[in-house]
Amino acid sequence: MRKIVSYLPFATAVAVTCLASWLAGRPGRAVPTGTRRGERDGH
Amino acid sequence: MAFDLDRGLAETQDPAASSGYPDPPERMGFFTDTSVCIGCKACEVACKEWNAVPEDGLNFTAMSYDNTVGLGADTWRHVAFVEQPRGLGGQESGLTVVDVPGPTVERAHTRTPVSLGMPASGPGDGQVGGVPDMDFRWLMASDVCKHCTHAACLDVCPTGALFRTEFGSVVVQEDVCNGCGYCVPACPFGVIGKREDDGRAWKCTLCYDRLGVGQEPACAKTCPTDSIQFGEVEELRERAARRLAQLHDAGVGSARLYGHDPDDGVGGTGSIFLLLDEPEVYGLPPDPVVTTRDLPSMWRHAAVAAGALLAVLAAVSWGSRR
Amino acid sequence: MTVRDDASQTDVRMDDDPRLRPEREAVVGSAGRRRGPGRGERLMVPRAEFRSYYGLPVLNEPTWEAHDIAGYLFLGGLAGASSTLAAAAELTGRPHLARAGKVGAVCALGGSMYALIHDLGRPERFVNMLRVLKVTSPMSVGTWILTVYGPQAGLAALTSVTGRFPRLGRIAALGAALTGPAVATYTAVLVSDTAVPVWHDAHRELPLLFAGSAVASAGALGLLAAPLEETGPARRAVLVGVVTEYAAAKLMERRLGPLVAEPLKRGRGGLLMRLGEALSLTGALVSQTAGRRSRGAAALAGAAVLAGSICVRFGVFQAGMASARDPKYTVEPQRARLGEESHP
Ligand code: SF4
Ligand code: SF4
Repeated sequence: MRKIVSYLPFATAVAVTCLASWLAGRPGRAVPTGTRRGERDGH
Repeated sequence: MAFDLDRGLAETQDPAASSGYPDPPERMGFFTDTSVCIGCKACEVACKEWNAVPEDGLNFTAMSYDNTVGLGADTWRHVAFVEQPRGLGGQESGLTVVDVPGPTVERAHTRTPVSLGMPASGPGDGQVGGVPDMDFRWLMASDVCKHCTHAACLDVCPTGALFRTEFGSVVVQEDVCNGCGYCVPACPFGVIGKREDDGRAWKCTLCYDRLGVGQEPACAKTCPTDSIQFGEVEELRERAARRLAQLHDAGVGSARLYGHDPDDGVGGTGSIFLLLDEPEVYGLPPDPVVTTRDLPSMWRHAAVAAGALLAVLAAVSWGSRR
Repeated sequence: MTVRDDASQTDVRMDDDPRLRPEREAVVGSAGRRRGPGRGERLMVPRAEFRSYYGLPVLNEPTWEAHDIAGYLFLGGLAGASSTLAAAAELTGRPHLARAGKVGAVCALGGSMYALIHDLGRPERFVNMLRVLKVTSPMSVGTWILTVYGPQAGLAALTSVTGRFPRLGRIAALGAALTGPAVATYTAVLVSDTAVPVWHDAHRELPLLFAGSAVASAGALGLLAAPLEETGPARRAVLVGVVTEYAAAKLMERRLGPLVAEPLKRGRGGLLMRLGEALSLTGALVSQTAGRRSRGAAALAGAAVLAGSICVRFGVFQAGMASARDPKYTVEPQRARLGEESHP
C-alpha cells in the first residue's frame, strides 16, 4: 500500500502534464500572434 | 572545481598532490594481511567506538561468525568469515600423541572416529580421534574502504562533500552531503552507504581526525595480530610484497595481493590486502574499474544523441507541410 | 606524518619495527610440520563457475527510489524534448502544438524537480548541488543544465499562455529548445556513470535509447494535446522516436551479452521492457494509421506511447537495480576480463 502511495506524486505529475498540455493545445483558444507561417497548416 | 574532464580524471599516483595540495605528506593507508586475522572483530568495535558509528543490528546471519554482512553506512570495518573444506598451507594442529596417556589411546582405538564437521583440532593422522580427511580452513578478512587512487565516489559527488585529504584518503564532509546517493552505486567495491534515518552518506574516514594528530586509525591500533597495518602506502606495498614472498616460501600458494597494483582499474588502492583465495570469495570484485574512466566516452555518446534529437525534431517539423 | 618521540604517546610508526610486533610474521599453519607433499594446498573443491561471499552483492544497491529517479528519467526526457518540439512547431507555424509542448514541458519539469529533491536524503540541502560545478559528476553537470534550462522553459510557457511579451517568449523558447536535448540525454550518463553492470556497460547505447524515448514521448504528448491539423511533426516524432528506442534497446542487449542483459529480459525489468516496447510500437502504429484521421485515435496512440516510454525507463532502472543486487553480474564479466592469468 505504501508502495502504491509513493508512486502518487509521479502519477500526478504525468496526469497534470497531460491535462495542462491538452488544455493549452485546444483549438479555438486565442494563440499569440507572430507565428511566421500562421494559417498555412490548415486542412 | 574541475572544469577540465581530462584533468579531473588524470592518471596519477599521488592523489593528494593532483587534488591541489601543494606539499602533501606521504600517502597513508592500510595493509590488511588476512593470513594472520583471527576474526576477533576488535577492528569493527574500535571503529564504531571511535567514530560513533551507530549499531546496525546484532543479527545472527548464519554466515559463519559474520554478523555485520558487509560494508555500508553503519559498518566501516567488516570482518568476513569463510569456511572452506580445504587445508591451509602445512596446516597441522600441533597436538601430538606424546602427552596422551596409554590407556586413553587404547580405548580410543576401539572406537571409530566420526567427523563432527569441525576443524581438525585433534591429534594428527592415525592418532587419537584423528579424522584424517577433515581438511578445513577458516578465511577471515577485515574489509574497509579502499581509499582508491581513482575514487569513483569522489568523482561523482555533485556537492563536493566527498573530498581528498592531504593523506590521499577519501572522506565525506557530513555537513555538506545532501544525501543524493550518487556515491553509493558509483563505488565499485560496495563500500559507501546512505544512512536511512539520517539521509547522508557515510564511510571509513581513515580516521582523518586521528591522522591529523599523529595517531594511527583505531582499527589498526587495536588489531591484536597486526593483521591491519597502517603506514605509508609506498612502504606498505613493499611490506605486502615481502609478506607474499614469505607465505609462498612457506607453501601457502593461495596467498595473493589485492589492490597493490597501481595499474589496476582504480589506479591501486590505499588499502592493500593479502588474501588467501580469490577476491570474490571475500565479496570483493576481482577486477574493479573506476566508472569515470569511461566518462569521456559517455559524454561523447550523449552529445551525439542530443544532437540527433535536435536534428530529428527539426527535420520532422520542417520536413513536411503536414 | 612525522615520527613522534614522546614516550607517553603511542607512536604511529611503532608498528614499523618488526621486533615490537613479531606476530605479523606468523606463517599460517606453522605450528606443525607439513604432513607431506601436496598436503593442504590442494584445491579440494572443483572450481565452481562463479564464486561469491554467501551470494551477497559486491556492490551496494543504489538508494534511488524508482518512483523518483526512474520517474525523473521519463519526466526529464519528456520536458527536454517537448521544449525542442514546441519551438520547432512555433517556428513552422503550428501554434497549438507549440503551446501544448511548452506547457507540457514546464509541468514535466516541475515533476522532475519534485522527484529530484524528494529523493535526496537531505532535501533542504538541495542548494548544495550549486556549490560546485564538477564535470566528473554527471549529477552536478545535470543540475547546472537544469538551472539553465528551467527558467527558459518556464518563461516560454508563461509567455505563451498569457500571450504577453511574445518576443521574450520566442527567445526563451529557443533557449529551452537548445538546452532541452541536453536535459533529455544527460540522464543516460547519470545512470551509466556508476558501477551498476547494466547501466555502466550500456553507456554507449543508453543515450540513444533515452533520446529516442524522449522524442517519442514528446511526440506522444503532442498527439494527445494538439489539434489534428498540427500533429504532423508529433506523429513523425513518435515514429522516429519509437523506432530509435526499440533499436537502441536491441543494440544494448547485444552489447551487454547474454549474461548482463539478463535483467533486461527477465524479472521486473524484463517485464517492463517488453510491455514498454509493445505499448510504444502499438502506439506508433495507431498514430500512423487511424491517428491521422481521428482525433480520438491520435490521443489514444499518444497515451500508449507515453505509457510505453514510462515502462521502458522504469524497465532500464529496475534492470540496473537487479544487476546490482546479484554478484554474478559484477563478478563474472570481471573474471572473464581477467582471463586465466589471475588463477594461481
Ligand atoms: S570508490 Fe568506494 S572504495 Fe574507493 S574510495 Fe570511494 S568508497 Fe572507498
Ligand atoms: S550522497 Fe553525499 S557524499 Fe554521496 S555523492 Fe551525494 S552529496 Fe556526495
